[in-house]
Amino acid sequence: MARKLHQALVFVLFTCAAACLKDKPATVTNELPPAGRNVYVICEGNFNSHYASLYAYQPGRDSVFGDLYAAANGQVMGDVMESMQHIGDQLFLCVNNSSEVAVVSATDWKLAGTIAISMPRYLLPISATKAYVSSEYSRSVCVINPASMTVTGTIVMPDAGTEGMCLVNGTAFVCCWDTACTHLYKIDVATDKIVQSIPLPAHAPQEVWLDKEQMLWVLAGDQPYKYAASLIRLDPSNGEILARYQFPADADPVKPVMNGARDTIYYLEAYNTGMLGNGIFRMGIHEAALPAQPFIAAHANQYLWALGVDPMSGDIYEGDAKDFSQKGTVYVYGKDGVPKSSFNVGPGPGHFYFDY
Amino acid sequence: MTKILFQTFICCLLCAALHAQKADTLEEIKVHDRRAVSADARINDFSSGQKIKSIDSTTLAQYRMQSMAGLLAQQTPVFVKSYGFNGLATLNFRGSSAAQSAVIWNGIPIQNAALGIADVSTLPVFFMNKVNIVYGGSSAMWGSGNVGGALVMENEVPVFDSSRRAISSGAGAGSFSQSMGSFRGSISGRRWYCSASIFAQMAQNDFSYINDAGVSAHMPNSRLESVAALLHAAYKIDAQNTISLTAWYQQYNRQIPPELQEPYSVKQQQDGSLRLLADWQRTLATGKLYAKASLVRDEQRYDDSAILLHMHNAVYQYYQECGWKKRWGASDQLLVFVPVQLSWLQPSRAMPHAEQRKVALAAAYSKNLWNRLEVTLNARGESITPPGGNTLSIGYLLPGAGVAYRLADWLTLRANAQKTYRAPTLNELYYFPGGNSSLKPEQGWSEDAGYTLKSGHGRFTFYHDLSVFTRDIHDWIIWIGGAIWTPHNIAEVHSRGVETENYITFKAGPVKLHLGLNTAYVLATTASSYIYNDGSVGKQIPYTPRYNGQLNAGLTWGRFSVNYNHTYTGYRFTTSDESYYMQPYQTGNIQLSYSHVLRKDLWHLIMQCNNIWNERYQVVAFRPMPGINWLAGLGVDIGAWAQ
Repeated sequence: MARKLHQALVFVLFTCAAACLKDKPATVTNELPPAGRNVYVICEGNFNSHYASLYAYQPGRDSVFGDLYAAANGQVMGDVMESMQHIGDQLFLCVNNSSEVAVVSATDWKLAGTIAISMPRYLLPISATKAYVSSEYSRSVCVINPASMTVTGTIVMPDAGTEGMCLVNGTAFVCCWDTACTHLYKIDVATDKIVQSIPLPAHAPQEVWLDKEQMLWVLAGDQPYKYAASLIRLDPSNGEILARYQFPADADPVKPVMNGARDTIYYLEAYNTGMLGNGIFRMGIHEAALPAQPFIAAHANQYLWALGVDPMSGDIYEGDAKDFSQKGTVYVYGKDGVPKSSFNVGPGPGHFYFDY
Repeated sequence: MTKILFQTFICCLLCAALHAQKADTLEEIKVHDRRAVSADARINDFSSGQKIKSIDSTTLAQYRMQSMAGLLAQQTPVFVKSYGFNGLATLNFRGSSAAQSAVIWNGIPIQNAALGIADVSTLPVFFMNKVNIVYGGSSAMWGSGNVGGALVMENEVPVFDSSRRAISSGAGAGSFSQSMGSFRGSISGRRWYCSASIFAQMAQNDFSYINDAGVSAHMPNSRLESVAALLHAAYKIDAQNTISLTAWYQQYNRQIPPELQEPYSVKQQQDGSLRLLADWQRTLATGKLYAKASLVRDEQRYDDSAILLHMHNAVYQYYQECGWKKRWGASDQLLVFVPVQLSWLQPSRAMPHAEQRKVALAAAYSKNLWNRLEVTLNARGESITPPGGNTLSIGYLLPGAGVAYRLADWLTLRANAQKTYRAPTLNELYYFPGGNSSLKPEQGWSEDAGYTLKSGHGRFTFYHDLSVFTRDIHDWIIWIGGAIWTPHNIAEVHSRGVETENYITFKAGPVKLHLGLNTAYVLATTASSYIYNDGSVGKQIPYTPRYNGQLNAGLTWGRFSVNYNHTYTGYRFTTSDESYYMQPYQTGNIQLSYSHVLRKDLWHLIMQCNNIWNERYQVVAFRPMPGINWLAGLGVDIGAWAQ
């Protein structure tokens, strides 16, 4: 019997020795960049995972730094960083699912304060003491004072899901990305009142921006909800529709941006919910039709989710979010579409901000 | 390399079995039979080579005021992914996902048909008389969704005894304004049996935690109210035929507390489940015939007024199974059964129309040779309509085999290999927006081998069990997306590892001491992926600790018992490329129980102190768990002593 127990003991010791892989992961250090021109990469993280992060790429050094917020503040930023704006000497970070705008120094990225806003999406700077913040799901635009980091007012909107905004000659144009919405709203920034509702020939306006001829472009539609996408060019002075480009029913164009000259539009287009047929498309502002082929085609099973065009060099930046649950990769192309470099950033790169 | 080692190990086991046949001397005759740990033949008679852990009745009694989540987290190597003290809790067997872990109640699957998962935090231990954990996949026996393992729960088997009356009730209270009450009564005659069980609980769950600003705060919006009732009636038609009806209803109303990064939460969730089961059994001279039919309705309401989100869905699952079990002599058994499963959703905006039908023919054959070797062969042919969004049925053949060999009275070797698969759920196929109707089932092979070493010497008993497992799953389904999440078949995941279960007991007069240790080492890594430039290849899949273990030490002295339980859960990665991770945590928990006879009644006192070292920890990122907390309960079995 003693022999049996001895054998049993040997078995147990053998078993205990079996597992030997080191469990503790390697420690990652985040570096802060030296002074210079930064291409910020806004990384959403995975929804509900709280891995929003901010990276900075310095094209001159071909170096990437981040997570800046975590490195500077010793804590995670929050959940789903959607966009950012540079106002004065501070960066205003819209952290959507954490329902706050985090304000950090533009030089050392240390947190200066937060502004509580429900599901902030985009921030439109109006002056040193005024900015608008759109708010997902809500029927309002928040008015904030960037200097005091306070909410100073609310503009009630006719539709829900305030989203993209654009400032033109003292008026703000606001999209409400709700499928019930068929108007672009014009707000007098002096009075914070809606002064005009511009009818659109499409549902769910999402993004609005200005071209070099001071004409507005609106990307509308919500393909997953069966509202086909449209690209609309209109005159901001009178709301006249100048051109309309209708996408196929299964196309889902996202993240439109313009080049530095503001004469060419770039956007990502995704078929089959993002996994196939994806790519970067571009078109001039006077094109008669949408481009049929991507300017830069995506690889199979690549999830492109961020797009930017360097206003100075014209380089094209695309962010591959992969499965949103790992570090994303940014690919840089020359303005001719030739690959130049790539680097890894935080999970879910969603936007670029050229802080020049 | 791992595969070669594993195959070598299997060969060694089989060689040992063949070698043992050459013995030519008469040996002492010993009759060996397995203790019936379940009323389910799939566990008792057709699980050769599989690791099955039965939770003993003493442990079940100690956790009778808790949910399955608490029991499994503290007593088994199954990783319970708990979204906070008042949130969802799902199972992770050997690196499987929640939807790959089957939950079976009295032989029927009860995972939510839309989600494919079961929230084990809503399954009261009080209702269950037997709880078994089946490690490893066996889709031939348990069907779709049994990839990592299965939690198999059973209620009391009807007893037809005219002298039997049983009433027990209890009440408990604990930290964070927890209070609970339970009642169970059963009465039977020579031909009939009725029982009723009720379990209700309320809690504020306002435990203190360190918030995002580093300040101690009380958890807001975390109230829980729940009630569950189970009725069971059985009638013995004659000596051979028995029918029974079981109804289980429960309603959980929960507030969902904020995550650490959330400034506040007004989220609320209501889960209602109705489970009806009708069962007929006919005992034959050499086997039995049975038929069962069940209807499960799971309803969920989720409200988050902060973002104007209001969801309501109801999903139905009809399951029926007819089977025949036949025994030839003492060594051969056959089980043939036909499971049919229909799932459908109450139409809603998110899913206007969704249904799925599964029809299968399954069989298992078990042979016992020389009272030493048990071999089981099993197979299932299953047809799913509509898989992948078309109306044509697609068939799957799911074979498996297991072998157990008693090398010595104190040592048993085992091995098994099973084809395993999981059909996409209704949500994965049809949820709007984001459902992907072209999804393929996840499928692969699951193999494991191990040994059990049991020995007794004088006042000592010793038990040691080791399992080595490996599993390859292709077309692993993962939800990904930015604005709209969509499931895709994107990866092949290879899981492998070692589990041990060890305990020793020592009797010293009236005192019985015990010391137990369970360990699990699990590597579950992405083997290949369709994603371009995927950084997850070769990396541990999220929320799968490589190491976890549980230690139990205590004593029983007459009707008094005390147990110290210590759990360790290792690093968990929260991203698929291991770029983010969570710290390991340990918890210490004490269970005390004492029974006392007063007149004819048996009184039970149960006390638990959980997380006695006040560890600040999170199982899921940004969902803090409570510090030290206690629970105490008093129960009585009326007239139990006299009976």
